[in-house]
Amino acid sequence: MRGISWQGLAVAFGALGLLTSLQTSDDDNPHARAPRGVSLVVTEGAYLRAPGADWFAERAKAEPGRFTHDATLAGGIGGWVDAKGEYWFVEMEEGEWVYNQWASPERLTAGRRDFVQFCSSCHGLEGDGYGRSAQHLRPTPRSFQQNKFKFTKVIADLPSDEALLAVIRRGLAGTPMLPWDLSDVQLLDIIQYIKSLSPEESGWRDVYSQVGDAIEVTEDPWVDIKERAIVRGREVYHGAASCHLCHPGYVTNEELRVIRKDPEGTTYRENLTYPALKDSEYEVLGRATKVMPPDFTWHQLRAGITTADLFQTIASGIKGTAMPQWKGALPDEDLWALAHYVEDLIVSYKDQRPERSAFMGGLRTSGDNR
Amino acid sequence: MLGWGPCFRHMERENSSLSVCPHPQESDPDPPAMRTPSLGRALILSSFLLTACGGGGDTPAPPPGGGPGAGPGAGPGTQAPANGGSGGAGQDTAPEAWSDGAGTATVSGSATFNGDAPTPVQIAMDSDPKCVEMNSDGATDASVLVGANGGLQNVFVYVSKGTDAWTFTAPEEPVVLDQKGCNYTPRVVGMMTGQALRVQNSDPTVHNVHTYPKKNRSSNVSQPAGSKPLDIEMKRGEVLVAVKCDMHAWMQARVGIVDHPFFAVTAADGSFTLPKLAAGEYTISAEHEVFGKASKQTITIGDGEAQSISFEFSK
Amino acid sequence: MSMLKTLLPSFALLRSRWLGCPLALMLTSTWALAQDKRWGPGEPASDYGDRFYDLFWLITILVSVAFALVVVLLVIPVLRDRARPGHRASFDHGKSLHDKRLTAIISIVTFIVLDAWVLVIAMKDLREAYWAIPDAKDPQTYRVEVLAQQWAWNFRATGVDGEFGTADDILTINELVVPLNRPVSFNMTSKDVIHALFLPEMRLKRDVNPGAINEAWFKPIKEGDFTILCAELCGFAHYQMYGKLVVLEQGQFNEWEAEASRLASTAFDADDTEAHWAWDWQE
Repeated sequence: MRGISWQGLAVAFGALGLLTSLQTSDDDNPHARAPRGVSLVVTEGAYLRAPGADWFAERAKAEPGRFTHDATLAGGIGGWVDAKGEYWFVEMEEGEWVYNQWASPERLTAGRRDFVQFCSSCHGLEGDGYGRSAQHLRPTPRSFQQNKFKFTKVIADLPSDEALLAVIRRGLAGTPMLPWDLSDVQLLDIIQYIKSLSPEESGWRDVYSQVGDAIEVTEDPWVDIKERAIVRGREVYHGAASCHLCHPGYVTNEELRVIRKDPEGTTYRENLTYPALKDSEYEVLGRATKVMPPDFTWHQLRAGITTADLFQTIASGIKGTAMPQWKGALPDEDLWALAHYVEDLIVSYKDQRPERSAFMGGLRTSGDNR
Repeated sequence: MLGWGPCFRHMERENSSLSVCPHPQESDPDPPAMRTPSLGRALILSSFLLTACGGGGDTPAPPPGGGPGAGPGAGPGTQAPANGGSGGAGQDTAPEAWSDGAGTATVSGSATFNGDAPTPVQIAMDSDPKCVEMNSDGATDASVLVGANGGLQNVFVYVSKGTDAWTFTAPEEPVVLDQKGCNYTPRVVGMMTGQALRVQNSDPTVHNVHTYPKKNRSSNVSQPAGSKPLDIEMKRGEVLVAVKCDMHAWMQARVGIVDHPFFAVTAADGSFTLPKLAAGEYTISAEHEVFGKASKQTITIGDGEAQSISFEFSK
Repeated sequence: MSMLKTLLPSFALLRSRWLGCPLALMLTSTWALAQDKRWGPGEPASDYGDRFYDLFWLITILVSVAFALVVVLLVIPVLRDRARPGHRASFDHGKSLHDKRLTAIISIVTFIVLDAWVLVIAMKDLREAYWAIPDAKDPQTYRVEVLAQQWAWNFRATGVDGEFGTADDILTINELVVPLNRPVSFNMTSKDVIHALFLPEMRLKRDVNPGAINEAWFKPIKEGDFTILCAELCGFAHYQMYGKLVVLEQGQFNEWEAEASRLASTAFDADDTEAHWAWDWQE
């Protein structure tokens, strides 16, 4: 080992370390984190639909200083600047309020960079929902060219940034969609980029589409009388709402007859205690796929299983699937009762194997239940 | 890009007397309430105050006035007018408003099906006893209805080209689609862009109204027995949008949406009439929910004339 | 140095402490970590788990002893031959024949005692357990096809009909249910990048490579819920690929399998060919 200067080697290593540490600060170099081989620079910004005036007015009140607007001054024009320095504005057009958001090229480039790195493996490089890891996957990853989102709990056509952010942060249980723990800035950039993937005249580039927040969680009228909520929920589930047409019925035929006030001898759908496969609007390679309504005592629910989550999901429906919007069709009181009933099914039987098989087995063996 | 920084740019605008450059600490803690937007208040965008504040000196300014249409990307300003539908390709003159008495020509004809009429398939409605009750004689699949002499019912016939010279006003009254006896009546309807499709539930059971459009927004709303009718608007022309009830998988309807009143649905014998056309050249298309599009027909028609065309469908 | 001198006045005492302390520390901390559910692999729950557990402890103990010995052998001359009043610092290069012989003997003995011992046991374990893939034709063998992807585990079991690629195949994501006391055999591949199936309680860990079908197996001997992890290091979300392994006693398992199969048949869409991904079982 003669000839090697150990001190020299140590100095060389130290210098190398110092150089590397100097190079790691890539804030000044926007391309430092860009994966190679993918064209990343977005040269033009995009106009996208933004939340409505109510959203704007509420935020302006809630966070004075964060937003500025002169809607009252100019009679129709409002503008505000968000925390990222992005300018948003609203304007009046043909007697209708149109809300737009301008996403800058820099922001979209940053969004695309993170999208390619974190999202594209499933959602595809161009957001078509068919990336490398999306193959054979059911339910299918969302196509951002289709502009339908299942679990944003929004009644409007499109979810607001906040509603989308909530879904990405929470993830979708039982699917490869993780609860993403990226920074808010990163996620909001990705969301702007996702919105810009809408084809012309569709989604966030559609003049007619509305953007909205997740449906409001109203006051739970059953909060102290859960038992009664569950009884009522069971009646609504099998009665007015007829959830058992797609989801499993959790009663015997006899009980169903009583709930629905049908005459003696009425029979119901085959396999009443199993869900029925339903059409959906979600397409893979141009072909519509089907979606299985969950059996609450068996399947994992995607968008949360608290009473409030269930209320929101039932009220807003699940976009693109057979699950319709129930808000307005049934009074809130009944929606809450349904939420309590479903929650009770989950808590009592999901992952409780002996209890579940006793319960479902009882329904299946009793009397005329097929 | 680190949130709030010093105000770096103020966009100069005509009449913009205000230069607001807010900072969280300095701004008005109680900004004036937003004026509630009211439909039909067409306001001139006289003042366009734009401030772009925050960190990052390289944040580009919003594009100049004139709204979104002036900028890159697809702003609503560049979108089709409210009527949507077939754009005026290559039109030199601005379209004029259509007056109802302008047309006197009539195109009539029939749609026929080549081949043996398929035997009607029995629908199993046993998932919902209420439906079984209402169809005590048994219900058959009505997607293909072949009448006398091979006449094909429920074909949507419409002018697909030749109406660009006019703009049309949609009628106020909605097109009604009734859910009766666990089926849609009528099965195929036509309507104009901007017109409402009023879906009502006359059944003692629940339905969900799920539209499957490609160009318009889809919707899926449930309608329990005794619910109020539901108005669905389609803003863009789109021929044969499916309307389905997912709860009763056999329930299907089709809606043809065009931006003019020249459309018809064939009767039980396959016949149709397109009245009140103005003189000119038209392309007429026909589409059936199962057999798809028939080959288009181009006709030239003069004032007061009547012409006859026919469409053929096969498997 | 002066502090050391005050702390460790007696040479003899020093010798024993320096041997004992690191050894005790290493063993107790390893043991403590291994006991804690959050850190350790827990008690083995597969029939060959003990083998790997034993080997793990053997290596840990041997390496701990060797490490402690080396530390002591290093520290002793440093202290013994240091400069101090009345003693000049001394060292030699160990170039004499005696030293070289000593080094050679220590190396050979270390190799025989540590490496060869471990190697022999490890080879035996590999042959008798890890590579002893159960016969797939044996009806006792429960076969599972594993399709890894960013960022989830897709599992496919045959369902009640015992055949892959049929309507009643049980498809689960991040959850695997297996019967107790029956060998579970995996065929594994990946859609995208390398993953590594890791069932810590079962003492099973195997890479899952795209473009290749890797095999692995285990035989659960304890009922309950266990962990499924991805042990792949490189990549930003492998750590989030966790799932639940459920071991059920045969009767309960049959019930579960029948129900899962039935639900799978309900969810099966024959026209949606893109959704079907089973492959012929590889042995």
